[in-house]
Amino acid sequence: MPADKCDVLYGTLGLMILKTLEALGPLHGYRLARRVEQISGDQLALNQGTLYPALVKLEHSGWVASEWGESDSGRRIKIYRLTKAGRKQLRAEEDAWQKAAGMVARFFRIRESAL
Amino acid sequence: MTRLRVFVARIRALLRRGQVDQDFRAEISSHIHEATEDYILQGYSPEEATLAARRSFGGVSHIEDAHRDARSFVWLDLLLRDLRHSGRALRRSPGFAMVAILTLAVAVGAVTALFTVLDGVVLKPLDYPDADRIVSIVNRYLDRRAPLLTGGDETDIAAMPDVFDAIAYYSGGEMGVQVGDHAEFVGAQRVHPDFFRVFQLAPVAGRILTRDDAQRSAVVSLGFAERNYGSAASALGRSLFIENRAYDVVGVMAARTQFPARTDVWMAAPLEPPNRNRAGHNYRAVARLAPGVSVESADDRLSALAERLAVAFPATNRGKTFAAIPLRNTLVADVQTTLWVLLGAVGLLLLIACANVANLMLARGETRVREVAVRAALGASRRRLVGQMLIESLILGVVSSGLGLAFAYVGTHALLRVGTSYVPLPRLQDVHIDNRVLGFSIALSLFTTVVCGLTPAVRVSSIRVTEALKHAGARSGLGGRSAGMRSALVLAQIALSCVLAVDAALLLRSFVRLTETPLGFHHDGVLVTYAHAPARGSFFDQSGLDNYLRAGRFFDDLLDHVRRLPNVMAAGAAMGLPTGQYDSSGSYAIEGKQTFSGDLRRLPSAGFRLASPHYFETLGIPILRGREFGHGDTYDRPPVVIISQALAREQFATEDPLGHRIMCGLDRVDEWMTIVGVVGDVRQASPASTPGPELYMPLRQHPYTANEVQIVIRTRTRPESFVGTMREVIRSMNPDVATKFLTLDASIDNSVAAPRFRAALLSMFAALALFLAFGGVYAVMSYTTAQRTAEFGLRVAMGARSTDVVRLVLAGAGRLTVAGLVIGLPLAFATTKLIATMLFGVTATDLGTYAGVVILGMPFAALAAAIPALRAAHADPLVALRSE
Repeated sequence: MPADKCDVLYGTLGLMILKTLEALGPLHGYRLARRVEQISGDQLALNQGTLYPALVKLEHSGWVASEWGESDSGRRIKIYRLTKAGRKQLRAEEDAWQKAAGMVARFFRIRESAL
Repeated sequence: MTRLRVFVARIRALLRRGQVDQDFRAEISSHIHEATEDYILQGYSPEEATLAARRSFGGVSHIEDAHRDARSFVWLDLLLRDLRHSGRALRRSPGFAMVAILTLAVAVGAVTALFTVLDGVVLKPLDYPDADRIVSIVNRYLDRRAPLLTGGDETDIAAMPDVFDAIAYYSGGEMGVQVGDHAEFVGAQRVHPDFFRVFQLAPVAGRILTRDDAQRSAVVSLGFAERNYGSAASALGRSLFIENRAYDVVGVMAARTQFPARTDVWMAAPLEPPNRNRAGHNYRAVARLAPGVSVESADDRLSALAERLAVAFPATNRGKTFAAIPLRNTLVADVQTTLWVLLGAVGLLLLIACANVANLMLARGETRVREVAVRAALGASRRRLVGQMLIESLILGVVSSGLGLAFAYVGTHALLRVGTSYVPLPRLQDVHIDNRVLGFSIALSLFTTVVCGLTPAVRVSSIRVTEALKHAGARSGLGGRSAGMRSALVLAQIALSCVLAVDAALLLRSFVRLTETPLGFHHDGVLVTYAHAPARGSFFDQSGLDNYLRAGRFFDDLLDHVRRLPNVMAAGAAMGLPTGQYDSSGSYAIEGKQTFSGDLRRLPSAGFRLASPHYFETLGIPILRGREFGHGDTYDRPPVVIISQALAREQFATEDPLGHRIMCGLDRVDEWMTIVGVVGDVRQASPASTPGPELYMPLRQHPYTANEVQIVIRTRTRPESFVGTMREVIRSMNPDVATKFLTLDASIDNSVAAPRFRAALLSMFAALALFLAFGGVYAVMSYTTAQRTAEFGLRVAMGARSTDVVRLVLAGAGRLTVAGLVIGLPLAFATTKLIATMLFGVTATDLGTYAGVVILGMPFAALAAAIPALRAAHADPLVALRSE
């Protein structure tokens, strides 16, 4: 694993998964992992030991639902999709994230003269 | 909201664990497959692609764990895993688990069963409203209490104002009751009409007695009503006859309210005792204390009254006072010592069982040091390790307390069954395993498992991993401290079981002495018939006398008839058969030596018995001088008496007693009776009683006490086979005669039931205790010899003979046993004080018993040590040395 890839920020993986599912529609676990990595500009290396427990948590919370389907090659695969509650949760988290990010960004814009 | 959803989802995941696991494995494999296809698209060869996909995925089992943690409750999962692990560990050594569980279960079962009975009989308050306000009133002398009051005293006590809410005298016992066309022999009491007000009992049908009912009405038990009238309701208004007097049934009492025990009929007695003589003790009394009056203040008032009476009637009342005793105390006085002693014994057994299980667990803990150390090295936390040991002992505790409860249930019922037939356990209807007893037993088993489980758990947690790993391969090292502890446990077991063994041996020897004691009469092959022919009337009234004489003649005719039956060797009758239900005694005077007047208590006293002709012959009581009663000794002939050898020795020494005259207070108070014979002594109440002075008088000359008799028949066949014939003969001659049958052997057996019960139970406990203690010796010796296998091998290799090795091991066991005995024997001696009153024919310091316990115990201790010793001696030295 390349050293310059960052770990998932704690608590943000769920948000990434939800957003990815919203943008790309229902996905299989492997595909989902790849998409999240690609969207991050390959800055992120997803550990499967993090991905799957995160999916379980999202599913238990009712934001993600899963069902068994078939892959292109006819293999039995589990496909995850965003639920209505998940969409609502995504909006809420997105707002919270934007606010937090905006706030942090303001700190970075501080110059001495502003004080 | 979300939290609740997560919780529900986790529970669902937990419930369908297998399915979820399987799904996740399928998901992983499809994930890897997709990855492989990606790699192939990137130009990898299929083999390289598979490898790369696997590598990038990471450790499957690790990810499975993470998945499991996310979807479930971590602690619950750990707990389940620990439970599974403990279960597996216990299953791996089924012998250990079985021994530990059975040991604890038997001990817990025995304690619970005895506590249940003790609780039901002694500890629990009586089942009456405000039962602690009910007292019995008794006579108290300097050195003893006596339950029977005189009629005169009772009248004065009842007249005291403001002490009692209600007071009732009562008297009675088993007697014949005529119902319709048949008679039944049942417990019947003449009670003051206020009797049920004392107990504040409501009837299941009808009403309780009132003062208008005196000598007219009766209350019967539910059982009696159902037996004789079909139901409680249909008993009301019917009549029953006792001594030819009719009583109307006005009420029916529930079974649990039976007081005195085994009473079926309560007849309303006159408002004042019929016999108010202050010399005749004939009545018992119960009372309910008035509000605000304590037992102590009632006692004070009674004492003050007794002082006044002593001044007024010095001849009869000097030196006598009265006491109020809580009813419960009088009911359970006889059995509570036995039950407490047995509970103490079973408590010791429990301690021994705990020591044994602790020992087993310690031994097992040591064999598992390596396993535990490896797990600790692999990262198991100490808390987990201790927790796991505790879970293991909790499994043992739960299983064994469950099994123990089952044992307790069976044991309680067995105790009660034995109890009802042998020991006069009062209040049996109160006894059932209730929540308190259940709590007691659960607390006990928890205590037991925590005590047993904690020691190994603490030890395991204190093991330093490196040290343990270093030493676990070798057989020495860690043994030191725990071997000492285990030896101490075995020592305690030996000492405690020694206590039980000595006490049990003393009781057993007492019982054997009892059964071997010559009773002074012939008892095998004798059938006893309790028979009551109704008669009624006054002493001073000719028609009354005629009634009683007729009843007496009936028994003469009956005996004549019975003697002519085939297989009957001899037949007679008595009132006051040895080991029977009736006892009477009092003062007497010998003409020229004493006068029968004034303070009768300065006179000698003797048992009063009535006998028919051939009675002594039937029971094989030897006629030492003079003659037996004959058919000529009738009511209109000069009164005669036969005395026992003890009385003759006491009063006449070398003089010939024949021809002397005696007067006693039985019924014909002012008539002299001529001594016509001297008979051998008998043990009257039970084999435990000493043969004492007895006065035998002819049944026919004392008709007022002779319409209820015990007929004895010596038969050639088994006496039991004669019951049907007897019942038929009596019914055909007079259907109003109530009867009850048993053999004389059974009657004697019943009289020693309490000592037999004690001896049997205590012996059982002692045997169990010894078995456990010797098991403990065996376990410790096998463990230490196994540890020393290498040493023994070396010794043998250096030329020691195998007998030397055996001697070495035996010496070790011997030291342990001797140390146990040195502690145990004085301890045993200290406890014998508790059972001193239960001993017969042996003293608490009986050296033979102590020596016997030691001599009988030693070979077993030696055997327990010899098995491992021989095993060690026969070990191949090469194998032994290699095992190091």
